Amino acid sequence: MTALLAAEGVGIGFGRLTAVADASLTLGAGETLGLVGESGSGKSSLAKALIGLVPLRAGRVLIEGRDIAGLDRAGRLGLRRRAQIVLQDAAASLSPRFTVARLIAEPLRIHGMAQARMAPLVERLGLAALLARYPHELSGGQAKRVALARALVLEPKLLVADEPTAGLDISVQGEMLNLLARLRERLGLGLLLVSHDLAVIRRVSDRIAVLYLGRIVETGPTRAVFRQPAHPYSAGLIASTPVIDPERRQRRRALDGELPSPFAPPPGCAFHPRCPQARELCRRVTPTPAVVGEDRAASCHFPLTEA
Amino acid sequence: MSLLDLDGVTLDYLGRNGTVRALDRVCLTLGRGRILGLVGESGSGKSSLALAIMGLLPPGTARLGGRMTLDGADLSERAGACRGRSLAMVFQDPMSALNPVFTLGSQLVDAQRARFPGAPRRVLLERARAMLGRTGIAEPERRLRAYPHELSGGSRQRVLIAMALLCEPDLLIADEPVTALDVTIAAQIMALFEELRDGLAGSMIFISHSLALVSRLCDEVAVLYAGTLVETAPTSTLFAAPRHPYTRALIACETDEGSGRLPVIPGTVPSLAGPAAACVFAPRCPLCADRCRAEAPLLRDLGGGQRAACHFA
Amino acid sequence: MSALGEIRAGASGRLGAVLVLAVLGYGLLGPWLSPWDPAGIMVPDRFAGPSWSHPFGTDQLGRDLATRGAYATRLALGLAIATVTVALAGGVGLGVACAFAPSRVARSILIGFDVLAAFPSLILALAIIAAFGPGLDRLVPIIAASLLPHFGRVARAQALGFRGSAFVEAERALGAGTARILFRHVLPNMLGPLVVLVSMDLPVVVTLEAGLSFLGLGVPPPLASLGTLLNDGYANLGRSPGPVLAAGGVLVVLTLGFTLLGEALRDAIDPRLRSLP
Repeated sequence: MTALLAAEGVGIGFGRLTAVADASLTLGAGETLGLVGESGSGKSSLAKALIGLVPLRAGRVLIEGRDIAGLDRAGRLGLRRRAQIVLQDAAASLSPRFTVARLIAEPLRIHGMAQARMAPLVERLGLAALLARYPHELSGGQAKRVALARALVLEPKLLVADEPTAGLDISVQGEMLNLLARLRERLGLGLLLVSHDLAVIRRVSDRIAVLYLGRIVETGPTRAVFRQPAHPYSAGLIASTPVIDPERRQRRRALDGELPSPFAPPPGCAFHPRCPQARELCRRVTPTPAVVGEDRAASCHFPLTEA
Repeated sequence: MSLLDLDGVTLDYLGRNGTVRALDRVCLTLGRGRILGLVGESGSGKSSLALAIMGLLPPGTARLGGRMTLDGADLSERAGACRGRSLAMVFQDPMSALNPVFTLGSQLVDAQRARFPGAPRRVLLERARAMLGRTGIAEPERRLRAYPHELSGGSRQRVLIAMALLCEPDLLIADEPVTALDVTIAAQIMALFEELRDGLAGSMIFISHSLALVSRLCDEVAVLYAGTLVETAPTSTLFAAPRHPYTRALIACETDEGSGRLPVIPGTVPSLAGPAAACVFAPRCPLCADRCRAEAPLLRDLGGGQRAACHFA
Repeated sequence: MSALGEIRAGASGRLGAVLVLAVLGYGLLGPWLSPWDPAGIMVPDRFAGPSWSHPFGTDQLGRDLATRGAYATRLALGLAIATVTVALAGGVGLGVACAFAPSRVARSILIGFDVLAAFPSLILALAIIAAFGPGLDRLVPIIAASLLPHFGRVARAQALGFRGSAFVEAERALGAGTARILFRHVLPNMLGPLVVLVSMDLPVVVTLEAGLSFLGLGVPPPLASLGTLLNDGYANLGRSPGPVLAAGGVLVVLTLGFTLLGEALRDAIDPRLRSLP
């Protein structure tokens, strides 16, 4: 069965800066893949490139088996109908002089689809009362729902959600994530979730891909990766995520060192300056993804194994 | 005697569209050498409380009521004199808290002038260098001559912590000090706080929206909701037996259950105009009854240092 | 509060609006209402002081100053509006093109702006008039050319800012083409600052025209222009201060009015812009 989304050796760069190198992953219909990383990991650039919003410097991306590069105008429009995105700053992504009604109707207008398609979505996302409002009159959560409506009104097969819980209080983050999960089930979407928040990723993703300085360092089913991470960075990231621990039972070892700048990546394995088990090989040779378990891969010369 | 005593602190912001009550009759005490975690979501008033204690509220639009004393002295008059000596603060965004056109060394020296007026620059610079080392900055002598933009976010925050500690304050307030940092760097800074806590002579208020962060670091936790203090307790007690429905819900939201629908508190935080006539949490509370809508519960002592503002606690 | 509401609320904005309306009324209704012929020479009545029949007195040829002033104002406003429109259309067009075009095209446009902006407007006007002779139709392109780089640069900066904004990115993600983005999302959001610019540049144009006419290089006689009124008045200052005061007064009121209104508009629109995402 063809995967909904398949990326092979994707490279993204702007001038001398390499944002992403050699990224490969797959996403099936109805599946949620979480892209996790900190600043400089390239996760947002990768997510946008996977739906054709950012040009590729290397590699290729296939959506429903078809290459997204080299499409003519009709092909590009078709791609937009199949793959959509909700941007990180939802409020800023809404054109300031348009009402909510016009904002949601616009994608339909661009693609020449019937306006009637708006109604069920407006209903489902609870936006009926907001149709006459302008973006600056919406709360953060409301803006996110409007942005979501705009993305979904075209009935895409693939949805990218870039930091869907950013700016939301913890007590309402669940609402957004539950909504995404419900929509995914109802509409059979493939969901690509980008976040720096491991707790969010853990709850909603079936599989995850961990990024560090533009490279995917580990992929695998969420539960398995969290239980036993194979890459030292994944392990460090998981260990750094705060959990409620009043008795201070967990032995927490924070990762040393700074996040390297994408302009000056360390030689060999980009993680080696901070890796507790770095060896000579790591300084010289950049690791490539290797299978470390069932449906799991990690880019490490000495992946962590079950103790 | 406790170090910090807040008695019935009320804060109103006067705006064009009316008055907003940011804090409603907050009563809190903090002992010496203790770390208090102040937890709340947006609109809870936690940052406003920090600014109120520091005396940094915008003049004109902010109206403060109640009593605040630091070491017995009334803060509403003496906050200015205390800043940089007995009071110090670490802010959320390390980049905007540092002056981009001055070297770190000169800013660190400046920060000590309130505490050590007249001391020679050489001495202050040496103290700064030592403190930078203690807060985990590599090559402190070189860093003294650096400018803020040359440092990463995590390093800048270390510098700000050093700056606050150099004043040897009785009370250090840290307002969401790791929220703007990447996860692994935030973990480093939290580890730094944990390292420093034993050597810390004074007390600290650690403000955060995350219960998880305060759970490890703090001795006591105070939970704010829409300007009202809804519960305070020693840390272990709070997490073992939370008594206020909001605290329970918040803990549930942050506890990773792993599957199924995520816990949510339906509704949104209200913004108040004037003293609360009913329980602030009533519209969203699963235990809400008629009494809650008619009468605002006061903070009640439940024993073991735990207090909660709920009719059913 | 809407932008208009905020202008009404501020004292200087109100004053500006009143002055602008007064000038517009004078320029539009004056010629229509006046019983006098602006070119009607009545030598016996020369240098008359203000009276009921001659509110501003008469000039050295006995022509009614109030009427001449009204015609001059109408001419000045008409010229200013025509010029600004041309400069705006050209400037915005080129500026937006600059923001969205490939870099080589953008750079040539920018160099063009720099070349035009390098000439002080009066010198440029003098040069062109010296080459092609004076005349009303010459004035519009000259003044428009000196104003164009100003509008162009502001338009470019605005367009660049919007091009990189999140909502334009979102529109692209939905499949909107460049034309749609330009006309529906970028240009409408640029209107605010441009309106401010227009209202603050109108007095500049008026003053420029008056200056040229003062030097005899602008509007030819017997057409009335604020500049020629000033020139005639200046020559006969010893005989009567009336003409200078009348023409100068109109210029001051016009300039002050538009500037105050423009500043009020800018203050009303700026915070709005800042609060927008």
